Amino acid sequence: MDRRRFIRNVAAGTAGITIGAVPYELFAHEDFTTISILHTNDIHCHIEPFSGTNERYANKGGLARIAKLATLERQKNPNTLLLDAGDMFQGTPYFNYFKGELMLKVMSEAGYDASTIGNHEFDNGLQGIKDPLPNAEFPIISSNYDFSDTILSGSFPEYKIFKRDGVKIGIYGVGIELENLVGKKNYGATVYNDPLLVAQRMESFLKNDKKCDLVICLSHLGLRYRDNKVSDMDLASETSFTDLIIGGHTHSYLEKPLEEKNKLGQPVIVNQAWWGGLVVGKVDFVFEKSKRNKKAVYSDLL
Amino acid sequence: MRQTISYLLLITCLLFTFSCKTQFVQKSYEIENVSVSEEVGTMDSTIVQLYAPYKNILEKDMNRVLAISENELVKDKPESLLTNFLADLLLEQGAVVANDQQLDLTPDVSFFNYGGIRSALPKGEITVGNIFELMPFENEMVLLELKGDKMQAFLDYIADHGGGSVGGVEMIISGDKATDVKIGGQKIDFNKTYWLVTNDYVAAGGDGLEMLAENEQFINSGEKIRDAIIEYLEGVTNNNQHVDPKLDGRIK
Repeated sequence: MDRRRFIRNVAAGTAGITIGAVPYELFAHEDFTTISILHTNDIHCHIEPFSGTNERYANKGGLARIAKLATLERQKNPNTLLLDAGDMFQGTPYFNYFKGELMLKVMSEAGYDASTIGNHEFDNGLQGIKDPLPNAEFPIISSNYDFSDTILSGSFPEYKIFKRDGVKIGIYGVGIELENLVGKKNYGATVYNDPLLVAQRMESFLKNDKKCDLVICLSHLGLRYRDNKVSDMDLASETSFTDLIIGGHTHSYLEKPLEEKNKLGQPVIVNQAWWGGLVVGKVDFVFEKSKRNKKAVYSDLL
Repeated sequence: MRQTISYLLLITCLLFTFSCKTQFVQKSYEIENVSVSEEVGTMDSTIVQLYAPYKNILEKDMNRVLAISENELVKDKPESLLTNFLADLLLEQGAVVANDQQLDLTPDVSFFNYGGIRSALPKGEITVGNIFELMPFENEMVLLELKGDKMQAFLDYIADHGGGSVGGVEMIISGDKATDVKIGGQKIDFNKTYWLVTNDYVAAGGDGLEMLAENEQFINSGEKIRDAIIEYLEGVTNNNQHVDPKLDGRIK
């Protein structure tokens, strides 16, 4: 398998400590914990791999294989989250025949921890989201769509905090402008709020109020645009506490995740995993537990 | 027992207190994008079992052959076998639907948005599955009455986008404008109105086609575009014909 891993130190301050360049497995003891993020986007109901007769993607991709990959990764590191950045719906007859039902069942079985709302989620209207929703055993996080005046009011949390091995991971989600992209009758009274402002509010809330150690944005805005349409690159440069932006919508193929600078000049990772389940993005964050904590816990437990 | 409970409570409290103080400092990260191919491994058997009954239902219908095509049909601009084929069949099916619904009109122009054409059609057997891949969206056929100047603005949009899937029209792309426009073989008349058959997505102004929202009349047929294509292909086979569209220089 052609897997190229890229390892980086996070802050200049840690440059003196040489662990950044060494695989974390060498430090397999209590001082370090690794949070693995696996992510997909724009699966578009590709539950199975592409057909063997497909000219470009024969036998590649698909959720059935991603589920296996996620299981193997969880065996290696139980502190793994499997996330999706929207456009789960639409793209294969599985959607046309069974609406969102089968897709959400399969994602739940695959162990997805969270997803967000892509524009194609609206393809069968608001009712077309509401009907299959009970099949999703994972939260669909949406911070900038306001569904208050619709039948979907209260269906989507605006953030979610996961705790893995003591590390708090805060996740928020932003969706693309619906006007001129989704038929008005399909999104009805859904209100689209400025994703940049919402992202800034959410990341500050998760980092400063909720004391999250890791802040992740699930975005269906698109990677970058030639015009001034808001994109993940804008999100990266205009936010201060977001560590990882998991994108979608533009079906972008990236050889490796992008390492950008945020508003404070600190690193932020921007990634997108092509589409159809052809790629899974993998980001491992290595954390060091503080000394004080380590001593305190051990003296009481032993 | 009570002692055990209080002891547990004490430990929990201590752990809680200390866990509140837990500080995690992010030290490094590793990133990679993993290609999902056979090399990743087998498929998850639970997932395969989960979708198997759904797959059976689908396959029965998807493998049905609708028609035979003489060529592979691929989309391209300014015109292509696929864009011409789709636009021409939509013009024809639009007339059929208008007649069935006793609407007193015949569509003059047809339009498929280029981005909505999601795959090519193979040479040889075209199956129901192929049409689902081509047109996965649940769009419905709509009929729009447009004033001549709005029709011209619409065709300018096509010209500005380098061509596209239109039927019933001949035009020349001159910069970002459509010139020498003929509709049904006649020079476009700004004092007339024309009927455009397309899908509900663009009819609502999607893809930047705001001029289509400025129509005189809007009729939603309730007929799915995909069903119209399937019906058309069944008709081709029933008439002992093959699919064989041509390039005709409608957009130059």
